[in-house]
Amino acid sequence: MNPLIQNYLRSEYAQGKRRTIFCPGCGNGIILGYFVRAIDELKREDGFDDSKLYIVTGIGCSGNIPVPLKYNIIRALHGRALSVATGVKLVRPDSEVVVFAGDGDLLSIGGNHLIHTIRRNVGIKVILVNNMLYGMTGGQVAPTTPMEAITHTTPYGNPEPPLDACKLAVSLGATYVARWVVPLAKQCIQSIKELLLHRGFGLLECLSQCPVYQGRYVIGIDRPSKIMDYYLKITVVSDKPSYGDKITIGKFVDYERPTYEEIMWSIVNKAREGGNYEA
Amino acid sequence: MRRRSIVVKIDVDKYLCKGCYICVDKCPTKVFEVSSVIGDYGIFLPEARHVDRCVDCGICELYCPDYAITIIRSGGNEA
Repeated sequence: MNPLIQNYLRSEYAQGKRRTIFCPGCGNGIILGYFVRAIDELKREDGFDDSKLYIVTGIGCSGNIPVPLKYNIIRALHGRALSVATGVKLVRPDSEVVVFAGDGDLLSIGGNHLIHTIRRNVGIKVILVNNMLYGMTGGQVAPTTPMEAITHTTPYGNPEPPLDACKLAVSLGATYVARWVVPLAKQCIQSIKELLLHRGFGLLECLSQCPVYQGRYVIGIDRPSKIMDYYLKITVVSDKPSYGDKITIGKFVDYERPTYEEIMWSIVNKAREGGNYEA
Repeated sequence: MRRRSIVVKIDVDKYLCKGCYICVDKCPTKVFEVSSVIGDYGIFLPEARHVDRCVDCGICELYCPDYAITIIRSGGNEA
């Protein structure tokens, strides 16, 4: 077992007595490795406090990413991870809230929550793991499935154009938006570090491989390393998000504006000082 | 003069490895090979047969989804 990762895992996982529950070659395990490495680098560089780290997940394969970690983890309802994370952030404004969500969880079922969380600029950090379909339930079509792709529910090709999460977030005024792919390890780790140090809402979309369903049906390659090579072939680095034949990757937006919890707590403090409240 | 490698061994955990062979395909100097030893998951374990070729890039450790690979380095006193 890798000793760097071992320091951050829970009892049975740290002893090497239990595996992660992902399929062989799944990108979720790689993303968890990047997340742990980013936290480790931040702790060594400038004393990042990970005792106030809260991780909220939805349902799906990506909801199982933080399960081996020894941090505080909340499993929310399907698609409602952002609402629970908003509650945690409002009650404890000095905490660091990270949300792991999949593309079906965040964009299809929790799409309205995503829109309004970005609009309010709640200071939570979202890592969106995009594998282009619903992996856990058996490979059904998702909002991010490319057009004319074959899945279990679209055997003659997908008739719907895909949804670009980064473009949606940029247009709604998110303060940090980036998209990277799993094979680009250094960029992913750097982006997660920037995301954790960011103040407002941050969205990192990470294109990940699902060799069992996405590999066999959508792309047509079932070897995990070949899917990673395919991702490098279809992506272009740019500063404008687009999600078509060529998927653009890179950091799209990075600026700051007042966050929801700051405005909310200033209102609460103002009301308490005025004395016209009933306890 | 050839640079001496400080990687002494690359350990693959017999229980944790699930046999995705990302390490075998992604290693830039082809250090790994699929051996005939069967691991606990029921797959042929990858084995670091050519450690003398290793350039210590850490790709296998970074990409391993099950954290089964550990690069064991010497203290750096030799060479």
